[in-house]
Amino acid sequence: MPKCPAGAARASASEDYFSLLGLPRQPSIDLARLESRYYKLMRKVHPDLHYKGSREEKDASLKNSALITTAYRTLKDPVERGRYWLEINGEKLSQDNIQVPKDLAEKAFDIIDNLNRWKSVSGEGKEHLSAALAESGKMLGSMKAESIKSLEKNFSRCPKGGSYKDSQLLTEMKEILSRVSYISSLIRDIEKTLGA
Amino acid sequence: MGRILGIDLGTTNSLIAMYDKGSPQIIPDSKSGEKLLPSAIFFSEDGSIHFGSRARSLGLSSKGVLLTSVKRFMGRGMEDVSEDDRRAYPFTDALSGIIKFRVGQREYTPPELSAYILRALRERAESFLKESVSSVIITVPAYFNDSQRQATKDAGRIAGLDVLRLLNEPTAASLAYGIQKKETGRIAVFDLGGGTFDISILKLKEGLFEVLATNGDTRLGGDDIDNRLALHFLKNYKEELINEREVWNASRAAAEQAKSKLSQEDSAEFILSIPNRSIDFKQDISRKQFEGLVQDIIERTVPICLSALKDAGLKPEEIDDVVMVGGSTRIPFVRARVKEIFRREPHTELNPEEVVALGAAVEASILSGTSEEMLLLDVVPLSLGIETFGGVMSRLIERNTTIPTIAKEIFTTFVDNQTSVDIHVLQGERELVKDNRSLARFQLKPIPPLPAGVPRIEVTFLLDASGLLNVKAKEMRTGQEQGIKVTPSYGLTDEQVEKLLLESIEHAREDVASRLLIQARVDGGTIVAATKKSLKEGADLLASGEKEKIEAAVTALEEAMKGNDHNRIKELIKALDELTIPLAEKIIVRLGPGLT
Repeated sequence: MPKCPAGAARASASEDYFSLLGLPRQPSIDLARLESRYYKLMRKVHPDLHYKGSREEKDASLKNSALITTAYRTLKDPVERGRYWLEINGEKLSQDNIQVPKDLAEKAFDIIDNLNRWKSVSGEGKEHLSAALAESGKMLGSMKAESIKSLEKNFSRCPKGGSYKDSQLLTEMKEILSRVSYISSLIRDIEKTLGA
Repeated sequence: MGRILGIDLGTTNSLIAMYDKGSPQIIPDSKSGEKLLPSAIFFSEDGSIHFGSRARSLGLSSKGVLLTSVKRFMGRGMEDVSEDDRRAYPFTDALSGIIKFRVGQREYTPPELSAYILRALRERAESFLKESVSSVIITVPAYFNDSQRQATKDAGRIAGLDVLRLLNEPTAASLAYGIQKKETGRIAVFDLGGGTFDISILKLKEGLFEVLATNGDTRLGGDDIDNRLALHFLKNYKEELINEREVWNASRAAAEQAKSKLSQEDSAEFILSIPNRSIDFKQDISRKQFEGLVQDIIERTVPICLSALKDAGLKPEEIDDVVMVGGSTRIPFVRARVKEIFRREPHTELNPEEVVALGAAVEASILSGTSEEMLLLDVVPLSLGIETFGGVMSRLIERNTTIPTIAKEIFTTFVDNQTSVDIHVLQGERELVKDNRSLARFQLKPIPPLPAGVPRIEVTFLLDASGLLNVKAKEMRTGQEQGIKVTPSYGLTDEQVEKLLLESIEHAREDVASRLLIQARVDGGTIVAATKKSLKEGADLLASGEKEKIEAAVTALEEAMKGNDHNRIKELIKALDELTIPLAEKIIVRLGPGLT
């Protein structure tokens, strides 16, 4: 089984989501295989199949189901998977202090300005702002999709050997992930404002 | 452990079902053959309590209190009570906390009332199966929060049932459909019942049912439509009658009748007749008028469906099958709207009122190991979090997360020698605590007195397969289990449930004793009347002294029937029976062979 080196891996092999779901430890994964492994495991551990068991058996069934599900959800989503990948390679991405990507700065400030103004204006001005924000949301959506595409491209470039720590890939992945986080939070803000 | 049965504890009707010979089936009432048990309870003025159709009909004809749609109040607080509710129900005067109804001198919480319905279903199943029943699966609306789920489980416990699992209603329905079709695809279940609305999007693959997203409104259903109609007609008649509970409830019943008829025909008549109040009002309504009146209620389902689709990451055209569940999906306008949303004809092959109970029976077969190829992966409908500084909710588990799931959080003390830490657990999607639903307050106690920040307590929030929250805490330095005191915001504590269970067992004993007494008195009355008749007809056939003996036995029995000892009555019935056999034989002989 080809494996990417763990680097400064925090999780032991048994706790590793990839090995838990029987997948090679690399960020580019076969989603169909992930799903079928997940279903297979759940058919073994789900509490509905263990309700007659002892207290310990029931407890283990609950905890294992929860763990396997968390592993599955993390690996299924490319952004979550990327984040997790960085984490097990000793590069935890900060969730709180996301910097504005340079090429996005100007647009982002416009959007934030519009979001702030939205609360204070009314009537025609509000309608106009809403339309502009919806348009910005769309634009951000396609930017996010593009970023995820390039993230996945990086995943497949993951070397099957060699030291990860030196790889420029990690830095690139980090940049893309923080860009996606920033875009996502802007999209959330727009949705929240327009939904209210 | 015996057979596991599936229960649909509905707002309007409840059902109990079993899995037998490879398929689920509803257990009917042994006498009447009815499959639906109206979720109605009638407290008569003579102190007796009645359920189901009998409660419904007594509610219209006798003096007493009729309670229906109790499910709407499960796990809710007095703060949630609406104007329509106040018109219809005898609430206590409390302004906050768990909802209570006043009936005579007693107060009842929704779980206690639901327990009556569960007991009636259990009796129905026991008399049909001729075996005792204790293990059940009870269905709940998918969008029920933890308090509402807990209240349902409490109702089961008060009824003396072992509730193995709570099952989401739309998921149950998909099981009932899936077992018939056994295909692979994406299913949307549109479930509009008497009081609640759910939409669930599922992926079905080789017997595995994975819920992708669910959404809903636990205060949206047929009851809202009935209320709207009742209000409309009373305004046309005498608006001031709206606030009279008797008239309002009769109008709701009349509205329900008209609504049902409009699902079949183009027009219907609203008939409100309360003879003792000299109320006799009739008015026609067309289907078009009806649709105009209730359109905004049904429209509320649309954004909820779209939101569930978005959460599932699917477009309407990616749904392969749409399944209709709940009595309100019989309304043609609802069907038309669903067809528009999902751009396909919804499935209505299975009876929308039975499909949930059937699915619960399928889940029972999964638990007992008879349906090995099937498995359900359900989700939590609402995000779960805790209150943090500044009245903000910090999310620990996101909505639509597959359950079971676990979240862990470390807590510590803020001041020196602090001996307890309070955790306020909430459910909902909003940012501020006040906009979300308070579930419970958990107090970690006792914490050993230490400098601030030194104690480290790891709290595990576990949502089990029923979507119920379990909280455990561990002191991290010692590894010892940390004590927790739970105060539910809108529910009963464990102690209260235990107390109610004991009370109900006592009541059950009293109930059985009083049933036996009533039966014995009835039997006694029959034999006394028959004996008196025989004595008149055959006085000449009796030897001397025989007549006196029989008369003495009759007097003794009549005396005993005035008392409360059913065993004594039974003994005397037997004695009288033996004494009168010779007389009866002689009478038959005299009547001649023509009789036989």
